[in-house]
Amino acid sequence: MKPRRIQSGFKRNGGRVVHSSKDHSTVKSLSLLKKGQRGKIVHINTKDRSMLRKLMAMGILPGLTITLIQKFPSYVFQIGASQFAIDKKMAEQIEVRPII
Amino acid sequence: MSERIFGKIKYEDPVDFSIETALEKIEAMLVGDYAISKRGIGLLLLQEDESISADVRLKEGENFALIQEIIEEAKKHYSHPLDYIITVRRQQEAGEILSHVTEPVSHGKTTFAERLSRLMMQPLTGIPILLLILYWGLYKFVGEFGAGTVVGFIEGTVFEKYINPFVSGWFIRLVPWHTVQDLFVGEYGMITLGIRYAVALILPIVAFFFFVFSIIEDTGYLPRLAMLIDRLFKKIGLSGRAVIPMVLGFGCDTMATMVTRTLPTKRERIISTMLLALAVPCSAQIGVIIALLEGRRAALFIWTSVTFLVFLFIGFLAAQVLPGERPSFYMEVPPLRFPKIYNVLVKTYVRIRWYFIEVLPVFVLASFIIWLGQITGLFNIVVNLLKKPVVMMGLPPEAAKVFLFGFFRRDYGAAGLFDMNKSGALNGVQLVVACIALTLFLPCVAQFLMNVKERGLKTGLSISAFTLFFSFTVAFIVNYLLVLFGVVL
Repeated sequence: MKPRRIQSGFKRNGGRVVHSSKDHSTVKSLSLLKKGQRGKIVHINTKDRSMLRKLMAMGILPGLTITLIQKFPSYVFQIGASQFAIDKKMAEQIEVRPII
Repeated sequence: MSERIFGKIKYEDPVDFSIETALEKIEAMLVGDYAISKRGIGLLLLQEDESISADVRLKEGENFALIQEIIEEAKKHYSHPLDYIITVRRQQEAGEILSHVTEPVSHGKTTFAERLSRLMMQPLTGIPILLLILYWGLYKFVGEFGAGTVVGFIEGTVFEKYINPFVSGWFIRLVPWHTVQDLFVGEYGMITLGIRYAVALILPIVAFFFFVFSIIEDTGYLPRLAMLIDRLFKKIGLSGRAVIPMVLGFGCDTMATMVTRTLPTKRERIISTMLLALAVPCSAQIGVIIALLEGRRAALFIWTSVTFLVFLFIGFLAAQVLPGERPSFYMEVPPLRFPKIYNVLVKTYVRIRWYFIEVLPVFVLASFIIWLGQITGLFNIVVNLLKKPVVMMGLPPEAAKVFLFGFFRRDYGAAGLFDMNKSGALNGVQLVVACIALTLFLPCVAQFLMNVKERGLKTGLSISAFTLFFSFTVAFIVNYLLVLFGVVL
């Protein structure tokens, strides 16, 4: 079930935070995760078709678990057994629910 | 485990016009001949695949407009792009299938490869690793061993002692006309210079470079390098993906320019072509310059720093000036693997073969053009034109010939410098200035032709014109500063 969106805002460093009433963990963009943190992908937030395709081609799809390996100098994440490197702009478009 | 038969994925949704409905309607309308099932075509149309849409438009004629309407109607009933919905549905189905037959196993310990990979990707350890690779791979192996020892042997011993005198003697006896003799076995003869250079000087150096590059490539290191320098490259209008052509440029700029085709935007292609033409020295050049500046560590350091700074500076300027969207960076990072000898040898062989086929004719052609230029006197005219700027850089006027040769092959020019240095005509400062000017100088004939082929005549010519003036300007400034501060190298 998609979380009900009550409040959404923009963080200064470009990430998106969406608060949900259904569960108490916030959905945030990959760029806001901490290094080493894992999350469940919720949504790809982009209107750009080619960007959408590129992200999907890397395996970024709702329901999958993503691990953020590092943030600097580029974002490196792992889904399943594959690792990918992307820049901040792309990382901001992946919305995940952090797994503590 | 429950029995489940996996058939086609149904895209039924609780909306008035679901994807499944759209698929049924489209399937009914397709009359043309397609290589895959009509349902497959329908799915691709709903995903707005460009090449399939064009194909269907051709095959269905008037019906295509009706198909478009069906697609638009379906789109209205979903809050996300259909591409997304279909992909997510497929992934769910795939996950479902896998859950019946596989079990996730988590690895307790991190392997050595993974640990090394992490070290390579963090700047604190990654940059020293990169510098080590550059030092041992490029400088020691390609530069000192390849350009120094191996070339010294092939050129000095094999060619100079045996092949050249033999061929010259034989030729002179066969062909009595002096001019024709000159063409083939004279000072700049096709055989004595052209082929000798291609086989004895360039081929070994380039072979060594391709060998090292293939090893690095086979380990999977390059994507890690790309993610390290992406931020830096963004400042010069490129993305980390451009690391591949740039690194190849250290082998052969001409081949690297061809590879710039893989960059996604036009802006990136132009910037990378220009930087390759200006500030990325090819392996042949590197080899000869390292040999030239041997023993003068400070001079080598200055040459490296100036070239690197020019690269960043001009890249930054170009990024400000040229319009266009900023590139995005995404790259798969494969696991680090120990290189396979077979892979490395095959890759090296293929590249050497390409190089030989593309480049050897250019060498021979260059000899021919020089010969032609000499007998028509055109040669001397151009050399005289170059004398003025050359002297302004603080170099002796004889160095003008070096730059003219540098146009044909950068290493011809560097080799000319070599001879001048041996005869003691240049001091340390002049040597560095000449090397800097030669490196930044306009692209060699082969690269120029590739620039024109890939980017068009106008861009190719502007790049050559710019590098010509800029190289002399920078050399002038460097010379001025070194002399001003009384630096002795």
